[in-house]
Amino acid sequence: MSAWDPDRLLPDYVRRFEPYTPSRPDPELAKLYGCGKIYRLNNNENALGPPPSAQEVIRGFTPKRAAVYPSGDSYYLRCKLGKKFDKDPNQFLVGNGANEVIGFVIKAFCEPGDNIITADGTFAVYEWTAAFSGIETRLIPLKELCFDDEGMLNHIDGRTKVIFICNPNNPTGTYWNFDKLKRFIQKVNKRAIIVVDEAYNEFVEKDDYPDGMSLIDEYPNLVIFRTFSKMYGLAGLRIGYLAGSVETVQVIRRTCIVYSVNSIAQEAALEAIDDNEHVMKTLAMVREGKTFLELELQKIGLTATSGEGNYAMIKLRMDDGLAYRKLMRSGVMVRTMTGFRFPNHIRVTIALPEAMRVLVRELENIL
Amino acid sequence: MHSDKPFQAALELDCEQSMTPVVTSFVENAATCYGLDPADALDLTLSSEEIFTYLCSQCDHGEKVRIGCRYGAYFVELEFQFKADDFDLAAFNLTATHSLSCGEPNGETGLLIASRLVDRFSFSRKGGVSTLLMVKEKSYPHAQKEEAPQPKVMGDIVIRRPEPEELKLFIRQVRRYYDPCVTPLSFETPGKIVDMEAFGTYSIAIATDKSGTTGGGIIWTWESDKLVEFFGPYVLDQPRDFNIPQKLIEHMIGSIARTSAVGLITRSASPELRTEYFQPMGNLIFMDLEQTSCERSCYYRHLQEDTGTSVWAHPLVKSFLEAEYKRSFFAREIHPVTDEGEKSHLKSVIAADIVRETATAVLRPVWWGQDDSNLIETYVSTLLNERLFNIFFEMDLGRSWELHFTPGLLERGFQPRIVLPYAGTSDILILQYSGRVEV
Repeated sequence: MSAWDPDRLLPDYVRRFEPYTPSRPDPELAKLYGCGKIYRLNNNENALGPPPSAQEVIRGFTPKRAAVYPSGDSYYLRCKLGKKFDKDPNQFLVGNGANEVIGFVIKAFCEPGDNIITADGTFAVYEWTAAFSGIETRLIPLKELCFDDEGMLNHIDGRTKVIFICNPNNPTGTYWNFDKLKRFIQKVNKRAIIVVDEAYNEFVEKDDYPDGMSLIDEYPNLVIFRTFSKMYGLAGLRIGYLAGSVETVQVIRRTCIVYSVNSIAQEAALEAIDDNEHVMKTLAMVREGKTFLELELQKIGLTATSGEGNYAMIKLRMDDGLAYRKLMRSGVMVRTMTGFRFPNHIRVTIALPEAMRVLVRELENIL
Repeated sequence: MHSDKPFQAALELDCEQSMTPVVTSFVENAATCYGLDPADALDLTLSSEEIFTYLCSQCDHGEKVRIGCRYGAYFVELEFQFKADDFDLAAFNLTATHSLSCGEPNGETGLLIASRLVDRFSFSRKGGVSTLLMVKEKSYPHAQKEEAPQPKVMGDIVIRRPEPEELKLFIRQVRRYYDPCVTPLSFETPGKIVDMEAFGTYSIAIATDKSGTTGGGIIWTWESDKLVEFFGPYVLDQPRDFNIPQKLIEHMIGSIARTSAVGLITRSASPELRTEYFQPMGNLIFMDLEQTSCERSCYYRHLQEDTGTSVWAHPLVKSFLEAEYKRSFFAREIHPVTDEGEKSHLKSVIAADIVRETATAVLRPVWWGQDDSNLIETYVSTLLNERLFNIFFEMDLGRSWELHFTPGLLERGFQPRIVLPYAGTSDILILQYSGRVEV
């Protein structure tokens, strides 16, 4: 009678969820849009690439080792992280990119009927992971482009399990300072897990920016996310981690997928994390790029929001989707902000001077 | 249509004429329970009888048909589902083979009669299963224009969902200030809008202040799981510096930004539309039931980053598509469809989605055959006789065979109008009948 319809087997919350469509590979995009070179300013990648020591590891990986499983729980990397942050290695959980550890946390603590709290104008993956897990997301509007602490506190109830704070926030670059974060954690008072996503932590140079890692021993319901994709230039290898109290991390470990992080990623990350020179060079590139961008955008009548992080959000006088397509004709790939609930804005990665110059030139052309 | 929602009542039975009373009593009782008045319930019952009678005349002994009934706050929807293989699909061409006004209707005209008794009627086929959907709406009192009070100037603006009484008042005020061309037809009946909003057919946001003064609003509805259509924004006599249209548009975009919606379109832009949030997509001409025509500009916003795709094109519309893609900056590889003497089917099948309230019929290909041009001509003539003046044909540019309808459509007075990116398996090309309308 009826045809094969896999939808009928799906939970309602999966049926309603629309899969994310990633960009096509650069050569395909270049062909479709008729451009020679692609300037990747869409994913906040590090234009300098991985630190030289990590590059050396990648080059030295012998093909035969591909036949051997990696360390299932990134043993050496967790030991290294423990040493670096003066913690127990069991306070760390490494994942296939920070996106994967978002899933670990939600799966560990939430069941249908529970809710998570985050902001409306922030990284989408908290909301998406909750949606396809059947968990309600309570979106609190940003207040002056910043996470609204009081608004979030007012929405906690008995079914609130996780609160996600992106610090600094992607895409606005705003951040909570040490006092604000500490006050918030105290007011939550262990009613829920607080995740502070510090994906862009290494780019922040402000003195009052809190190092979440220093608070996890004092507050056992605090979980910190970090990644090797941004500052350490290992986005293509997919590696990130979370840190928390031993008891919280042990609970999250139950839903963690072992062996999901490959050997090259683990070994490259081990080297990358100590390379301070790479961090300094990247910070200098980002400072220079932001200064250039702010000045040049002003000349063409555009404004940018660029707080912390290696990105800036630019307000346009046109549909950001249309701007994306127009810029792609010249090979400039940006991130549209409609999905972040900033219509008519684009987010651009702060990259090398040539890319910044091309971006400004092409923005002027399309306006 | 609401086919993604579960049935409240369903019936599966043998396709045997003797079962007709079971069908009619099921439909009549369900329709009455769900709030249709007796006359409307009877229309739906008669319509189901026509459909069932026709299916019985076509199917083999022992075949099953499933009849589902959905209730919405303002409508009752019936769905007939049956295996397509056992039926002559050409019969679902909603075209009259002889006049309805004289003599007994034959089986083929039964479907046409069924379509006349309901507010919406559509046929589709997926994976070997055919589905006929019929919607009968509740009757509502019409609003009077003079009922609306003069709006006051607002204080600090908040954008939010309205309460039912606020909504009715807002609709009356919009009717006072705006041409009906830029409002949904349902604005004639504010009570229906309240029910549509409660059911989720419409999402509505109003701009209001602490004192409860409403200064504007916007309405949006899901056309499909990929396309959202909106009406407005409407501003009720408020100072321009309040930026009400911008706030309403941004609120609407924020509400659908992380959903399955790929595109946002308006086919009835209000003068307050902030065009910097959209791109123009061409014009459509709409005619109401009194045959008064009105040209409407379409504006579109693509909600995602274009990943680029391939489309099929008949040589006769290739230049139109090239120009559209160039103008809208969508990256497309256009592949031509050709006729190189290969064997083709004799008969075409076209499905019709009819909305009587707006005098609109949207045709979609089910099967292509050599008689396409004649079938299109018959369709046009039948639909115009039914006072369905706004006739559209939608072709999915991801399905090469659908493009074979192109020469017949152009020959019979259709013109390519709009391309909707990713609205089907790929883009959708909408053609509109632009020939003579003689009724």
